[in-house]
Amino acid sequence: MAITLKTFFKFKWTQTLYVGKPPLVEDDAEFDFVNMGINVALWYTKHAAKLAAQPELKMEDAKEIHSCLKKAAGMFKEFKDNQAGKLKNPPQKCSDLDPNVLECYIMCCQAEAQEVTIARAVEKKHKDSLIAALANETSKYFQQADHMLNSKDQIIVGKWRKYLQLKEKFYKSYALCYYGSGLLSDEKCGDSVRCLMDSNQAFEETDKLCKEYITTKGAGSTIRPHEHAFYRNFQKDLQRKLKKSESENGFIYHHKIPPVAPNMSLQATHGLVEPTPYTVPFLSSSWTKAVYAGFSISKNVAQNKKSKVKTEKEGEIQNIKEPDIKVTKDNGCIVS
Amino acid sequence: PNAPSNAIGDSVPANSEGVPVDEFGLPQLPA
Repeated sequence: MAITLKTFFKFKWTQTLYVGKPPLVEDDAEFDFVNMGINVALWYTKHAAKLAAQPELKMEDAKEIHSCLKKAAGMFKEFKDNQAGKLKNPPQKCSDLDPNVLECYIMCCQAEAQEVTIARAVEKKHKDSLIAALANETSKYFQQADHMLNSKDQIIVGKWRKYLQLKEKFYKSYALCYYGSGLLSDEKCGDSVRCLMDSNQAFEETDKLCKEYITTKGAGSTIRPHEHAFYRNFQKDLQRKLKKSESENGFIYHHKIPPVAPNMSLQATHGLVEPTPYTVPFLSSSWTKAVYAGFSISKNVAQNKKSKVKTEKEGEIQNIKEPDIKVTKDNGCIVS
Repeated sequence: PNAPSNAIGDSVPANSEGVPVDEFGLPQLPA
């Protein structure tokens, strides 16, 4: 039987969601390559998280965070769509190579990049309808990301799902808040009050999910999302808008408050994020058959493998402990 | 009058509908 480089060496990779579990081991170079690529994409998400945790975010930082998340989404997509299928063995469930986990990462990166855009749109005082539509789409992205994990082992993905669910609910509240605010500008005060009341309800549900997130065990950060300034500032803004709308209805409009909020007939036309396309580079023409043959695995290294001679001591792979993201004045979202 | 064609401001990115947008895909606000 021919011995090839592709299957000769054993590769070990720890997995994002496998807390306290041993690394996966495969004698497949494709396994190493795909894990390496996904690791680079994860680096982009973590770099974005590091930038987002700064006390005072500058515009250049926001642009870089946005760009990093789009690049990460593009890389996850390439490895899911075109590379993971070349693996010798099918990906293990809940590993970083699991297509559902990769799809979740893609949706999550898109949603988190849109969070940056929403913050920018609020800062630049864009129209309420634009912010509401973008927040509504972002909520849907988080929902889709969460659905990617609903058939997985909840002990492994439970904490991540809580994060996705709290973000889905938070941006639902956000969308309703800006939609309601826009309705007040259009003098549809009864509808405005209804939307803002529903927004408040969604915010209370977010608060509950935040507390559940903290107590849920599994892969994820130990941050306390409901203590973030971005979260608290939105709560104050929502309360102010609700009071204003109720007050104007009481004093001026006297509209009946409908039992059900009007449909948010908003189509996001700006700020939607698409992954930045990424393709794996072509193999260099220097890698000819003669070069591969030059390795002569069957003549030397294979003998060592057969006789179980170990040139290197096999040790445990230690996980790198990441510092938690600190709550600072301005950082808005939690990424990675 | 002799500014190169790639001078800042010559090229404003636009979305698929041809609306000028900023780096985040948001419409350009009037100055």
